[in-house]
Amino acid sequence: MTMNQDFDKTEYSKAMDSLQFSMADKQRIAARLCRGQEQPEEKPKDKGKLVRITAIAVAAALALSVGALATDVGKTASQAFAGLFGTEAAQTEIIDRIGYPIGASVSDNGVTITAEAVMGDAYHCAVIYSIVKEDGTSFEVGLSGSYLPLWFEEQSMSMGYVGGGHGSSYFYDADPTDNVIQYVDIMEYDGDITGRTATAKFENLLVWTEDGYQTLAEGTWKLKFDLAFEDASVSLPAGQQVALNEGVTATVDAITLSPVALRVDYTADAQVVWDENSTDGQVSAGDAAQMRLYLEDLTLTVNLKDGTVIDMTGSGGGITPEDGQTRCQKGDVFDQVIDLEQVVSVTIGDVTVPVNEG
Amino acid sequence: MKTLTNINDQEAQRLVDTYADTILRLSYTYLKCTQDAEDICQTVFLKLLTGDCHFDSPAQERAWILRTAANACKDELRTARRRKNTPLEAAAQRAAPEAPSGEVLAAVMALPENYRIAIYLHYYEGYAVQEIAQLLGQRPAAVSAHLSRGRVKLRKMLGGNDDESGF
Repeated sequence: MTMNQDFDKTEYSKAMDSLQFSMADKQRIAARLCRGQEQPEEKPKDKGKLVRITAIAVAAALALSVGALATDVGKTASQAFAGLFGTEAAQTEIIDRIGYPIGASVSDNGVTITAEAVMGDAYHCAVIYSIVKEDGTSFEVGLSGSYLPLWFEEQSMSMGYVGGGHGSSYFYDADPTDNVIQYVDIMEYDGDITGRTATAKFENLLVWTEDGYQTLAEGTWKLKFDLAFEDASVSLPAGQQVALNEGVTATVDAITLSPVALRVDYTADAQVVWDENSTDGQVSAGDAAQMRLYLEDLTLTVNLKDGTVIDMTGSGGGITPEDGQTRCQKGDVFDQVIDLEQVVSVTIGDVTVPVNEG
Repeated sequence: MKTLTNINDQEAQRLVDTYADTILRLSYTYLKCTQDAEDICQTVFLKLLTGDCHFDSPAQERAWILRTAANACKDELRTARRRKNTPLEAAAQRAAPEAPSGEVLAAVMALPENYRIAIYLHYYEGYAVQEIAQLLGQRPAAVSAHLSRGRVKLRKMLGGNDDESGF
């Protein structure tokens, strides 16, 4: 190091100079811009977060009729989604109506991954994959339980430019007596995904052990399939004024309800103030308070005719400061498929929006 | 407004050649990783190509690029914090340019966000305090304080003394 008592800006500049995209990277970025439509792949998601306890409890109780080595090309959407959304008649009827069986498989290094089915709406999708070893043996995960401690070293799903997204993904075993495990990927996107073609990529299946992550199956799998599910979403009347905490008011810009998800877009009349001194990767107390104010504390419920209240207050979302206001979106996929005919209203904070009036 | 399908090839290539590395360095300074830089580039370039942007000079265009990239990086930081399952460490699994090494750079990257951004824009990009303040939407006094405190911290980290003279 050439530094004496001062910060050596020459060394700093040299280090920064060396940080460059390769020519191939630049050509790819330019080509993508010229194509206009295509955006970078969605970022890999944390495979370790287990966020759908209710859904997986159902998954544990169910036994899919999946034989060894079966790739389940003939599965209906409701069969594929049974482990996620249940098998009640009312549910399966809706799933088979709006879901789309895929049955696309790809094999590498003795392991086959099949995209079983996809379901969603304009902004959400849930994809069920099955994973099976071609030699008929089971994956030696070594742990029991519904959620499996598995991980793809790399996983992505791209579908062209749809803005940002958030979601969850996890592995489960719908039938511990067979050699098939399931992987579900649930995403909400900023943009409309209806009718797009998705490309899913997976690399190296890992398992968490006491000694850390071990490779369970090495390989690269790439699948392409159409998001050909029926978008059964409806737009509810918007424009309502909703009171957030601390005197902040939000105007509801859009409410999108479907059998599988709810999303609410709203604009707060104050601009989020982020903590400039917070450390990367950690949420400071100030930022946490802002997220509570603009996103987390806003009550969201879907109210059904039979009195059931589906609480979506814990949904994910996004916050974007803009010209003294804050644009927000909040929403998630339900733990069960709902019949829109059975929805009485949607509650957003202190406002209740009627559905199916009359 | 231009549509996404009639983007001029030459203009796209010019932007990438001129600014992609700059955005990479700025996003690395913000995000401490290079995996999101390509996304940030796409966001910034698409905004420029499809928007109604007119610049009187290359310097003005460069400042717009840096300001827009900085905002995109901040959005990325916020969103990554909030997204249930898209943490920065997961994003680090993506293919991306290799992050540079070096003791001084490591020390700069260990500084708080505001400090290292101010240092990057001042000492690498060559912007004055007033220009950085305009670019980031901060008060000049705040930028000046970030630079000053950043320098002091760097000296401590790199084994120098606390004297601010001679920088």
